[in-house]
Amino acid sequence: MGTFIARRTGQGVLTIAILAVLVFLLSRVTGDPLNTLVPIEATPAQRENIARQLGLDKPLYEQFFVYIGSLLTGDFGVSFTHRVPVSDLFAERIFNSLALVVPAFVIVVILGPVLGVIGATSRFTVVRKAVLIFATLGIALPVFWIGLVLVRFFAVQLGWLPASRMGDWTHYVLPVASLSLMMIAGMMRLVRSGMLDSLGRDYIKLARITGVSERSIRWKHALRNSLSSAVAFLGVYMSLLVAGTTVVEKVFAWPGVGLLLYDGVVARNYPLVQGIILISAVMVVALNAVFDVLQAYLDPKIRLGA
Amino acid sequence: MTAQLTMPPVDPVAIDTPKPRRRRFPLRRLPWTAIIIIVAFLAAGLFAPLLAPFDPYTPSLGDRLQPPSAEHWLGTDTLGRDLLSRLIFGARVTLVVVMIALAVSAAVGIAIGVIAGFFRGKVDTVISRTVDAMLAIPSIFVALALAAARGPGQASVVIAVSIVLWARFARVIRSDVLSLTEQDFIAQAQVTGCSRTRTMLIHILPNVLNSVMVLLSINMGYVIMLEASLSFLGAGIPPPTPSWGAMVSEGQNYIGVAWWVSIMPGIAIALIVLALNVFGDWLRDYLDPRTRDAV
Repeated sequence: MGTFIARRTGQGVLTIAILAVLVFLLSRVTGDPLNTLVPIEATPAQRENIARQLGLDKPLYEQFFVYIGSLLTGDFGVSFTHRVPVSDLFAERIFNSLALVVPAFVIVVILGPVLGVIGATSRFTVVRKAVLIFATLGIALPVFWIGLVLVRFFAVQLGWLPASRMGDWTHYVLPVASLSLMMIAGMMRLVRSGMLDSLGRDYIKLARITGVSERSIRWKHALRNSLSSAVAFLGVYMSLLVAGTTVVEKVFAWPGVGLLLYDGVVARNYPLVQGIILISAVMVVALNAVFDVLQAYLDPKIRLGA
Repeated sequence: MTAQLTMPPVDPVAIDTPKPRRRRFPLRRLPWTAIIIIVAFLAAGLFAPLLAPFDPYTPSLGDRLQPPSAEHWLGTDTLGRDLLSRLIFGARVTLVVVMIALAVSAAVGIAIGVIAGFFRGKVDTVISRTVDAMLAIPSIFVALALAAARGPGQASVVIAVSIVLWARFARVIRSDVLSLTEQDFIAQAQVTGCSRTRTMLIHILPNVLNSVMVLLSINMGYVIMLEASLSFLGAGIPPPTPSWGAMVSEGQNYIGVAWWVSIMPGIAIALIVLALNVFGDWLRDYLDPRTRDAV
């Protein structure tokens, strides 16, 4: 297990390193970095001044070492519209984003497996079909579109829930619902097919013969063996959750990191975008690693194979 | 002479195990529906100027936000442009992005995957670690960074998607090639004096084409969704070019008075992604001899 964790950590560090190099190259190779680092309205003299300040007059490899050095010391640059370090802006907004992500995540972890088991074992064909249709639709519908449909129906038509911004608990319902829908669908697909696979195995027959109750077979014996791929899914879909949060925050005008990122992209505020991306990537990659370790814990095949 | 040696590998599992229990597949007829939707999408993209009833660009302010009617089947948008026409031209924009991004990623991914699986050892270790690392990068981040660096546009989307997507191809192709090189026909090819390049091109490449087909159809839906999300976030294809994601975004502020502006393009995205997912799943089951009987 120790070696597995060590390997997985190395993998995560490599991911961050590749992304850091990509972000560096994207701004330097695709054009004059000054265009992305200086506000559009700056005068030529100001541009030159900023270029010298940022060290952009130095050769590329030297710039690269400066860039990596500042990342390693936790300096993610300064947003030029706010004139504040990106890490401060990020810290200000992250809790608003987590207020959406954490509830959505809890709902997914509970509803995904439950619906997956029901979809695989329900006595009623209608229920099994409904679950399958939900699973198929859920991963094909764009998150932003689901958000707008929910707004149209629950906020405009029925007037039950507010359509945007932060506020009391009613403001959380629609964004959290749109965020969790796709992940619930993805997770229950995996649990469902895992269940169908495990239920045909010999150890389930053995459990039935020895008199284990059908409920216990479904929710303990078969489910446990269907969970490891679902846990791996959580890791992989961490990045989808980040993408989903960005989109959902735009739909609901939610003042989180995603909206900050959106504003940064629209204003071509490269330092802001770069900083948010790198900080979020560290979080995503770390969580990804945690879920992989958890999967290894659940599934000895992976742990011992590594 | 080599023709006999390049027989496709037979999976021993498929022979030894009894035929799999025919699973009841409730959505069994769906591949045909899916294929019809995919063909309609391709036709819309290829023949957009012939099919669209109106010009997708010219604003007509007198017709703003018209609900669906006999004249405008799907209604009109905030500038009075016909939504159906914009959707049809949007299919063309999406198709261009998807085709280029998939072609680039598939070519790079297959080449790297074959090399990793064939040479194994250190080459494979380096490539596999890089591929794993790439797969962990949220693709939307690369796309947003690129959009912020060089401005939004079709080229930005294509580059961003390709940077991430090749790794998905490389991973699957590599594991295919790993198991292929265990097969006798590869050893026989080498014994008869095939060079390594020849072995890879003539004997290995044709045997991974099934996987490539599946990867293409599954990732096509993924690219369409990514492009739509980016356009929705203003990091994709800028207006006035019709792009499905941007169209949803344009209608967002009118969701109360004119729901069709946002909802119609969303349905279009959902339909094509759904069709590609269903088709991809079906294709995978069909091309795999172990599950072929079930479909």
